[in-house]
Amino acid sequence: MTGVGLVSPFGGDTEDFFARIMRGESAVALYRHPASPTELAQPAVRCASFSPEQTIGRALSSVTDRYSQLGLAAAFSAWGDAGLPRKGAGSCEYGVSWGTGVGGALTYEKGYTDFFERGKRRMSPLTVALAMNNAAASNLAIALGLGGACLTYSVACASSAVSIGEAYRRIRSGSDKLVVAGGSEAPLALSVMLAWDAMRVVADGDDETAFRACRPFQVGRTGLVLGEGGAALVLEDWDLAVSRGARIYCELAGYGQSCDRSHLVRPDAGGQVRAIEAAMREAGLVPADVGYVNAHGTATQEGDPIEVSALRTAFGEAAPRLHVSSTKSMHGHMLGAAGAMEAVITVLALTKQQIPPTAHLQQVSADCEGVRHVMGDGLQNVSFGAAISNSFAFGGSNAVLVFRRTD
Amino acid sequence: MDNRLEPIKAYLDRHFDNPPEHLALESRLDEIGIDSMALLELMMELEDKYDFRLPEDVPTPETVGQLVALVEQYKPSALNE
Repeated sequence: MTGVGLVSPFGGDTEDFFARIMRGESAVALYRHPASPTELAQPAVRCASFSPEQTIGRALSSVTDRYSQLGLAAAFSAWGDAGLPRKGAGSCEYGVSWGTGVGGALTYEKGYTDFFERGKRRMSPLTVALAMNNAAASNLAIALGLGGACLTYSVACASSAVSIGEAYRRIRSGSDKLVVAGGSEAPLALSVMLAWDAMRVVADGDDETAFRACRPFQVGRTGLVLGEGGAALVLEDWDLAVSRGARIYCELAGYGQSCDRSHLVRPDAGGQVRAIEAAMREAGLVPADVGYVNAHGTATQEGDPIEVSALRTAFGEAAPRLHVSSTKSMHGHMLGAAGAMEAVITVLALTKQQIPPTAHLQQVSADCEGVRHVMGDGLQNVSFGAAISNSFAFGGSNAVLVFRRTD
Repeated sequence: MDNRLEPIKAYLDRHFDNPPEHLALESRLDEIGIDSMALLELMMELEDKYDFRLPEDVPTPETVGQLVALVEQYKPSALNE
């Protein structure tokens, strides 16, 4: 792992983002959708200060949906962080592995609005190229000259954990030397917000309380908040990283997948345990080796205790000492970008030996006990050699990434 | 600059960080950054702006002049408005 990048909802760079997450600072605010025919206000996370034109240029901005713009900005940041120049560093042995859930929903929504409400009878000829779910990955490959495999995974909320895990597989198999992996999402389309609202899993909040609307593991939690964003990592073959003198953050040491095979939207602890155990087995780790779990932790009534139950089972006697937090309390649920955003946070936590908190967690719900929840200002100066990021998706698809220090 | 090129210049200014400084009837569309997708978008913009429709089987213009000629053929007054 030689580069990390993201689009911060706080508006700063990756270091600023992590510092704010460590302080338990929330990027959540009440968002009133400007085009809703009836008032629709949800606590949500927006990258309000993100300027596509300033970040990726006018030419790319004019031919991309917002989800691609967020992804390109994050990936360019990771690419630079890995010490690679924007021009001339590409290779046909380098690839892209991307994740998104709703892809170009904003573009589709604009097309429908133009057609059904504004009387336009033609769609822009760019609609397909903007909205397609692999647009972010393909634009990235073109921009950086990456001629290896260019793949996009759409696995709901595990999309970009899968994209990172599959990139790791490709590097391990030798089919790619370097992969830019990550995910991006722009879910604040009216239709997407209404669809999530209809499931009754979106957290309550008003202008004053929205910032603390998402309270994973807390007594009385009311659900998730949608977030837009993008995050990316540069993964490369160990020998390549060493030969070019790259700074190595840590090693992606294991990747576990499973399917609950039981229900579309109700998670299953058994399926999650299988993914955690598979990732740990691949990394050659035992439970006591893991110092931190960045939980999926969406703050739904049903999901949080199931995840904690899975952690208790997978970690056994080590579970009560296992540090766990859900950073979604601060950056929201970025759906297809969540896995990548939380992987970046996990990598930085491991590298800096700091553990971010679950913000707004004051009283752990009885059904979420049995692990060591990190609250308040997080933990500084912790000593741990490995960390895990969990991503558990609707559809029952589970993806777990294990990161290990290299020193 | 030929006034008839203004709509094309405006399109380029909107879409590119460094639009070409000189635009002429002889300018090749691909050389000024208008690829096949952008051409479809530009032609649709011109149709909507001047309220006319180009038939689907018109030859694909390769130069700014050919595009101007197409517009003038199907909406003679458009670019002189």
